[in-house]
Amino acid sequence: MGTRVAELLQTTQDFAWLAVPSCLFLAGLIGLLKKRLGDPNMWAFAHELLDDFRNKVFSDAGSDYQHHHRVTLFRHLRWVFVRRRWPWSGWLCPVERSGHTTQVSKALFRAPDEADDSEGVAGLGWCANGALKIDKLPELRKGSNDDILVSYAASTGVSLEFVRTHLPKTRSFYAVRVEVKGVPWGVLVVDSRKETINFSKVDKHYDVLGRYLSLILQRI
Amino acid sequence: MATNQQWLALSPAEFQSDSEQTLKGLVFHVSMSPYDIPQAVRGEFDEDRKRFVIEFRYISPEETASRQIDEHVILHVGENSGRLCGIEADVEAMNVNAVLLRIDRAAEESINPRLKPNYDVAKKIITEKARELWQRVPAQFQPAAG
Repeated sequence: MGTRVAELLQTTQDFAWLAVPSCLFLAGLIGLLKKRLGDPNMWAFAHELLDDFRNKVFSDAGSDYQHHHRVTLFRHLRWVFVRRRWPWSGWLCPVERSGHTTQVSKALFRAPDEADDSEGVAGLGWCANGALKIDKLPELRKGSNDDILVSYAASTGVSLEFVRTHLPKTRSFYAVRVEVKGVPWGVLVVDSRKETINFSKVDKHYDVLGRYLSLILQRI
Repeated sequence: MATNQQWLALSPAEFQSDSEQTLKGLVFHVSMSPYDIPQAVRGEFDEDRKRFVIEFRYISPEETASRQIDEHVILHVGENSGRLCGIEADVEAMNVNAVLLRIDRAAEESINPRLKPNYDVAKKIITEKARELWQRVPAQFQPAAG
């Protein structure tokens, strides 16, 4: 028994040159990931807030599906691992969304320091000086002519190719830059398949959402 | 010694204003950011220094920095955002109208034009809530006209 323990200690000593730096690297990586992902309890609370806000803003949506009227929180990150694109240019990543469907979003929008290169409604909301309100977007269908697609793409800050491929169904948006202690943190986007959003309801109910979000995001 | 007044709740939607902004070559409808509109306001009177202090509370509170406008007025602005978070006025020397004039001047001299709507809203609030805010200032420090 004693011999085996001695052997184990010897082996550990022999590989210490590799094990110690590896453990330190792993600990650092876990710390970094934890910091980036945030406290899960806080995210659960944020989700509740978005749900509550969504239900107040779309209280007249009746029996519409949840995902026809959504609220999405995007976080601004300096770098993101992306294929075929420059990862350090500044990105808006969806981190929380109201409802229980369409939770897996592939939407990732550029929001670089060069504001003209920002993408999507989230990107436009990031660089706008205030809250962006877009409505009465055309209803897209297979076979919609190019003029309509071009108009939709320009109004939502995405490429014609993106619109042609995805044929987005959203017809109205609200986007506002979210701040924490006066520092831009990300963007909150409200989207709806209805022709317009009741923007006065958004203005009315954002106070409570914004106040609690600010408190939560400080702890994430 | 300052007397603490309760915060006066405001209805930020009342102070909303829409404008048009050009982004990526297209004109968009944009309203004031809810972060730029105070949610509440209060006035306190510092008897020792004979100063009247007006404070604004926003959605996302932050640390403030002081900015001396002249010998009678100090503005407290958000360290990160630059928003108007408070005003300290020498009530022996000025009344509410004089304070509003100083805010105007500060807004004009402000480096970032982005903050102009925030200063305008602050002025509007002070004007509309003057009676409630100024009630804490003893009568002898309230000049008749300004």
